[in-house]
Amino acid sequence: MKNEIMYDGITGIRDDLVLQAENYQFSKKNHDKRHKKIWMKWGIMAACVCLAIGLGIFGIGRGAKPGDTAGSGSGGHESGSVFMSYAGPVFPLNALSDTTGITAVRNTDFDFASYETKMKYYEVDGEQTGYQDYETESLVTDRYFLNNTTDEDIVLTASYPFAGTFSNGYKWMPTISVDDSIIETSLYAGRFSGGFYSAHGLDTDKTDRSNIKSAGEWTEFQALLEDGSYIADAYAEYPQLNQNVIVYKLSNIAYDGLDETATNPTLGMEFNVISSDTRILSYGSTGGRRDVETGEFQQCYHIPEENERGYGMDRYLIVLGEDITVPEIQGYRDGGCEEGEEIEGVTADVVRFETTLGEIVWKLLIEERELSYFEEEQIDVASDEMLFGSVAELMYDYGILSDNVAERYEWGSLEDMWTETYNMQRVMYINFDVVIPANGSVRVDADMKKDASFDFVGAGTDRNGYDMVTRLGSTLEFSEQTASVSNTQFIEIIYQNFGFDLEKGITQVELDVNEPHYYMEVRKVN
Amino acid sequence: MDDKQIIELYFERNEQAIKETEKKYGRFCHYIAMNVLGIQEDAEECVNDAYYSAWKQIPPTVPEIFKVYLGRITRNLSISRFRAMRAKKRYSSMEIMLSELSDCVPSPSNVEQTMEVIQLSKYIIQWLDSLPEEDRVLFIRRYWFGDEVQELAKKYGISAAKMAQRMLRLRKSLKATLEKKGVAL
Repeated sequence: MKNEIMYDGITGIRDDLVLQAENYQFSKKNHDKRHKKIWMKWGIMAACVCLAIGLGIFGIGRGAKPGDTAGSGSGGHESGSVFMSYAGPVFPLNALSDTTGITAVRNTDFDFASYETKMKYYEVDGEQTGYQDYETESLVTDRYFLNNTTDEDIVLTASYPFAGTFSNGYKWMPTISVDDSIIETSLYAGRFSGGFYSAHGLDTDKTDRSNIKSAGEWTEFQALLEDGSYIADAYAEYPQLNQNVIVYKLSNIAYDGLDETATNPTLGMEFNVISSDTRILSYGSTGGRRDVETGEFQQCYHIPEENERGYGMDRYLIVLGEDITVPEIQGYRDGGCEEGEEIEGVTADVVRFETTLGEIVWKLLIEERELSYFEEEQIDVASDEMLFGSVAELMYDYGILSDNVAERYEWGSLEDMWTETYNMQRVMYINFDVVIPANGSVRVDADMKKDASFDFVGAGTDRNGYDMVTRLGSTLEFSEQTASVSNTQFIEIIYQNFGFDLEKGITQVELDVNEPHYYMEVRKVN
Repeated sequence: MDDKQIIELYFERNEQAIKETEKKYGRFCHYIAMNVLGIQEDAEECVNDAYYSAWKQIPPTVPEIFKVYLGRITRNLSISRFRAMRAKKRYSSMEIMLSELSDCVPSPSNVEQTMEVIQLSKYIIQWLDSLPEEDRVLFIRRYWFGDEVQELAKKYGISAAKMAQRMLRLRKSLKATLEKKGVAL
């Protein structure tokens, strides 16, 4: 394709041109305009606050917080601090049981000790050598004093949310301690927290759902969590996969290697789908063709060489609905599986059997997972049941079990279902019970590493964002919220609406619980 | 760790080289792969393949600018993946980018020289060098880094529609330049 040659031609441009484009600061004029807009937005807000104080609408002390000054923030994620990779905010503790008689005091501390430059060592030819390095995650302690104002002990069922994926949960999942003792908890996972957009881009009237769009700013989490349905769903039972299916298992897939023109020998499995209601799932497939009008289907399976990943692995075709015609096997020179590219010498054993969708999905994605594609995956936070249930959820929401299948999943690849489930951003909930003594209090700490929000490329790659929400998704009554920063000698704060002033030593500030969102951008100090 | 030290690790065949490469340029490579492929797991595989490719090439190759070298490998592997998997997967970001690049493809003429990609790159470089700085940067950000038009528009402070128009003008300019040189692809 000529446009692909053009792509290759552009790939080969000079290094200095690439570097120039990466580091380029767009014209002063445009930047000033953008910042002016942001400043004006906050300027107007600050003016409103002053007026409100004058009218006595806000409580005492509202206007005294440094965060209300116009110059202290950039406008946050709504107007300026949008990152290419958004880690999600620190959420507040939530209660699942009755909160009558309970008040909460919260302090959220962002510790930047990890920004300290340290020597890291490695060995070369038996000799130690090293280099300087630092990390950009913040160690967050989200601390709560839960006060019981009644004359009886209260057992509170609490839930602590965090944004993450099954794949990175092991790194970012908070630990919960009550009065300094780490307690046992259980984990629940919400559905995918993002959405989709068209293959034609974001600014189009096309409605296909071909691309994943993870939540990019805090307001998307706000929309997700504020009516309570997301969390209710996270605690609900997973949907069942008890549909009867017909499975075609391909084993002993082999190629005799006699045709030297076969650059990528591939097995094509060809069949006809009789009913338009029939849906097809595949496992181990590397391509295919479908003619919905004629019902002619072709599923292609790359034949790995010995020592190649997937060698000797069985492949599957799963039919949901009326059975297909008897599949025919044909070898092809390459993965295109096109007419005229047929080769001899490709063989496989095909076995047909019936089972339920749940049984075959459990077998392939859970039981045999370590034997096939996913041997290097690291799964620590989610149980097999949770992963299986989340795959089922995705199939019902957007996959082949949905009444409105997203284009992204219309090929019915089981591996795609798995990897999507594994990597999709979601809000997860850590559940635990805590006893609050009569007329007393307990301290609950959620300790976590909080990944920074950041940009991959461009002039702003040195800025890292951290944010929190005050009440979103929580039924607790907060009598006070504060925030603090620690080990700030390694950073400078570029934008914020907290009101920290490191030069003046203001590292702890009172928060307005009616302000839904606080944010800051920091940069490593050299 | 600076690039020279990392490359020395490659020459010493110390596997720490890959870890250091990932640490320093993992985000960068992932960004490029995601921009052109748009599928998380494929981008991750592509980046891992890029590290492996660097491991195979260095030595003897000594990258002049290591970051760009890795980015280029990532781009090459991304389009290879696109070519191999197009029957099955929708790499919509790549499809959009390639569809736009069709505008740059010169129309056939009587005096044609069919060329190697290296020669085409030279002509593109000449054209880029002739552009005002901002246009040059915008073109490279869109078609080398794969930045979305909306993202560029946001950075530049104009509407996405205006940015798309500007990109179209640049593509047509490149096409005209290549046609003047009698280039055929």
